[in-house]
Amino acid sequence: MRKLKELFLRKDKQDPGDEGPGNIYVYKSKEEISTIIVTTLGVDPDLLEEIIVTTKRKLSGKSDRLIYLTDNSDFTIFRRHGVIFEYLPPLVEQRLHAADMPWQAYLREHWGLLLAKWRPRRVLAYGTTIDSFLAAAPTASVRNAPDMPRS
Amino acid sequence: MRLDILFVADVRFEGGTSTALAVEIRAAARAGFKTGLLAVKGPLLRNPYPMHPDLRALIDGGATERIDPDTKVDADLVLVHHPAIMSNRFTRRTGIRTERMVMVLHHPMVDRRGKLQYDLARIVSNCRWAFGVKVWLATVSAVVRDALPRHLPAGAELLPENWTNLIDLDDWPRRPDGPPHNPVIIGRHARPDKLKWPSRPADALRIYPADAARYSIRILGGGPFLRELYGPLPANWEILPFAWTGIAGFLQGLDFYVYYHSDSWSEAFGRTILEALAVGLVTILPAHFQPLFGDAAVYAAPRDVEGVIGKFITDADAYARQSALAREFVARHHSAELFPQRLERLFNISKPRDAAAVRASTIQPLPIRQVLFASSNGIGMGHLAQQLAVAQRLPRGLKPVFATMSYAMKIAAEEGYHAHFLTHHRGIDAAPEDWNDVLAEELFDLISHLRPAVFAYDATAVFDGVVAALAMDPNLFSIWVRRPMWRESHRPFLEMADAFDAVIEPGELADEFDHGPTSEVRDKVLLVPPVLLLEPNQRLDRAAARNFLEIPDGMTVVALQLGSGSNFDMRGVRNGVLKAVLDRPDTLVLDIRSPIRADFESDEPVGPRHRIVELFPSFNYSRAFDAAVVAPGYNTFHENILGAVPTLFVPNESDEMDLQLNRARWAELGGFGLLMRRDHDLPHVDRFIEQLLDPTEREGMAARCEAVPWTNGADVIANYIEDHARMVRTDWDITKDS
Repeated sequence: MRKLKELFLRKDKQDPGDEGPGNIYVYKSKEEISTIIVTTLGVDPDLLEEIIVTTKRKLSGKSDRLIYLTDNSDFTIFRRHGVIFEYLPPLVEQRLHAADMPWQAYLREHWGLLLAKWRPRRVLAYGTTIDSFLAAAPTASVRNAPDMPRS
Repeated sequence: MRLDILFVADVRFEGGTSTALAVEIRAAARAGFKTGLLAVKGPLLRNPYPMHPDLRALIDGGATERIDPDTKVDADLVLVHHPAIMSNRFTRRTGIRTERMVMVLHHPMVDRRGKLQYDLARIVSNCRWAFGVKVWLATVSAVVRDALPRHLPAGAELLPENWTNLIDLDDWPRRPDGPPHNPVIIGRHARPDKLKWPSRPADALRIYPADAARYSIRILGGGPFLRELYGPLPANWEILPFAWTGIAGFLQGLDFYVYYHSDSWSEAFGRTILEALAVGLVTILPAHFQPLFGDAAVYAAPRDVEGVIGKFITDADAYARQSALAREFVARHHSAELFPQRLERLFNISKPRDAAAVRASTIQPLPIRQVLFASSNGIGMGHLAQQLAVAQRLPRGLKPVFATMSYAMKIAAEEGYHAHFLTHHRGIDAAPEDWNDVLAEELFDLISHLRPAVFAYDATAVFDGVVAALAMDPNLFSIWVRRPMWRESHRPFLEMADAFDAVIEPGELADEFDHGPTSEVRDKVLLVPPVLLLEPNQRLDRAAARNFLEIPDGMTVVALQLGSGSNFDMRGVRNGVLKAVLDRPDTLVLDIRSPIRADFESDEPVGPRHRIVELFPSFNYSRAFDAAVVAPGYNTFHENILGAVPTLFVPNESDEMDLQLNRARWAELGGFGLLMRRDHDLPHVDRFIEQLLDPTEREGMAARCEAVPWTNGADVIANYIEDHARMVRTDWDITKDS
C-alpha cells in the first residue's frame, strides 16, 4: 500500500479500478519482467565486483533483472557492469545525521517501497541482511540543542 | 524569549511598507527595545521577490532578531504591517504570545472608485486566530482612516491617532542650497507601476513637460509600462530603473519633486513624497495630498504645474523658504525619533534603561530547519555542483540534505552531507510514466520523514513525480533553480514553473546571446549572478597546484576537458588537440575525466606528456594550467572565464544540450577566449592551438577575463533560502484545503 497514491485517490475521489494504490510497480507497462534484489549492505567494496560477476552469471535468466541494493556511495562498480542499483545510506551516515529524521521508520518505509517498486521474486543477501540493517537504524530523530546563531 | 515588540510583515514588499518598517525597527533598536521580525509570505506578491535589503541588513546587523515560527515568544506588543498579509489564516501554529497587537493599515480599505481592497472583517478574524487578542487598527493616514467603515468588525478597535510613516533624517541629507538649475530638473521616484502615474498622457506632459530647453525630467522607477501608457516618451525624460539604494542622492540632484498618480489609485500616504520633503525639495502635488503634507508641499492642478515652477524659479527666496518648510515639516511630524514616544503614549511601553545589555540578552539560537536539495542526473555534475555551492553558503541552523539522481552523489556524502540517491528512468530502463509514480512516492516518503522547510530543485526537466510530491505539502517552500541558455526543445518545461513557489535563474555572462525560452520570462524569476562552487580566489595557488599535480618545472600545461562525449562525439577533437599540443616542445596535457563518465573503456595516454586524471573540482587546480581546451558547459565556462584561464572552447552542439555555442561566441567576440567548432574548424586545430599557446594572446585573454565584474550568485540563493525557511505562509487559504 503506497501512501501518496492513496492520498491522491482520496483527494480526487477516483475509482482506483486496476490502478490500485499499491500498484507502483516500475515495470508495469512493460512486458512481464521478473526481478531479483541482491542486497550488498555492509559488504567490503573490494568484494562487490565478484558478487556482481557471480550473481550475473548464476542468477540472471532471460527474464530476470538483478537489482543491487548497496550502502556504498561509490556507484562506479555497478555502472561499470551496467547493472541496476538502489542505495540506502549506511549506518555510519545514519548516525552522523541521526537528528535529521526517524531513520528506522524511514528506512522501513523505503524498503517497503522498494519491494513494491521492483516486486522481486527473490531477495538475496550478501553481507548484512536487510532485517539486521533496518533493526540497527536509529529509531527516532532527536533534535539536539539548537544550532548556534550566526555571529 | 521575551520581546518588547514583535514585528510581523511580508518582508518582500519592495516599496514604502518595508521602508517604513525598517525605520521603525531601527528606531526601536536605537531606543534599546528588544525586537524580533517574523516574516510572512502573503498573497500579494507572486513572483520570487527577495527580502527587502534594508530589512535583511537590520537582521544581519543585529538590530532585530529573525524569528522562527516555532520560537516561543512573549511579546509586549505585536505590530503587524499591512493588512494583505492577514488575508488568510496562518497556515501553521506559531509560538507567539502577546497581550496587544496592532494591525498597521498601510492601504485604504476601498480605493477612490469605491472598489474594496481587502476584507477587514476577515483580516481581523485571521489576526485574532493568530494572536488571540483584540486587534488595534492603526491607520497610516487620514485617507486610510476615512475609508474605514463606521462599525468596525468585532474584536477590533481603532487607535486614537494615525500611525504615520517615520523617516530617519540622517539618511536623507538636505539638498545643497542654491537656485534651480537651467534647464530645471524635475523628478520623481516610485516603484514601477502604472497606477503610480497620471492616467492621461496629456496630464503627464503638463507636469513633466517635453520642452528640453527648459526642463530635464528624471524618473527613478520607470520601465516599459510608460510607453504602454503614453506612447513614445519625450527625449528629455531620463528613465532610471527602480532601485533600493542611492535614492537620497537621486533626490539631491533635483530642483523640483512633482508627483501625480492614476485617478484610480488611492495613495494611502506617499512615502516617496516624504523622502523628497526630507531632502528639502520643493514638492508639487495634487490637492488631495494637502491634509497629509500641509504647507510642506505646494498643490496644483496639472495644468498649473509649469506656472508654479516658473514662480519659484524667479523668486529665489520663496524657493529657499519652501525648501526649509519641507524639511521642518518632516522633522516635526515624521522623524524616527518620535517612535519611542508613540509607543509610550499609546501603549505605555517605555525605553529600557540599558539598551545594549538588553538587546544582547535576547540573542537566541534558531531551531534547525532542513533544506532538501533535489536534482536530476544530467550528463555531468553541474546540477549537483551548483547545489553544493549553495549548501556550503547556508547559515548554521539550516541543514542541507541531498536527494539526487546524479551518479556523483558520493561527492555530497564525502563532503559530509546527508545524501540520498534516486533512480532515473533511463538508468533502470523504465517507462517514464511508471517511474514518475515511483519517484513521487520516494520523494513524498523523504519529505514526510525529513519535514524540510525548503525544497530546492535543480534541473532543466521537471518530472511529474516531483510535481505530485510537492502538491501534497503546500507549506513546503519550493524553488526551481534552472540555468539559462535553453534550446527550443526545452520549452515545454517552462509551464512547470507553476508547480513551484519560486524560480531562480543563475546568471550567464553571455546572456546577450541567450535567445532561449527562459529569456522570455525573466520578469517572473529571481535572476542571480553566475554561480560557482569554488570562487577563483579560493583555488590552490599555482605552486601548490603544480606541486599537487606533479608538474615538472618549465612545462606548459594544457587542461583538456571535453565532457563524456556520450551525446556528441569529441574523439576527433581530443585526438586533434592532443597531437597539436604534444607536437610542441615542453607541453603537457592534463586530460581531465569526469568521475561519472559513461565510457568505462580503458584508454591509455598517448605518451609521457599526456596524463589522464580524475579531478573534482578541477577548478581548484586551474592555476596550474597555462591554457585549457574545454566544452563550455555552464560551470566550466564560468569557471574558466572568471578564473582567467586562457581557453579554447569547443562547444558540445548536441540538441540535448544548452546553447554552448552561444557562450563560446560571446567569449570569442569579447576576446575572453577562443572558439573552435568540431564540424567547422577541426582541420585547423594546429592554428587554434598555436594561437592559444601564444604568450601575448594568453596574456590578453587573461587580462580581459580578470576585468569581468562578478559576485557569486550562490550567496544570493543561500540568502533567499534562509529568508524563506522561516516564513509563515498566508499565501494560500488553509480553510479551503482538504
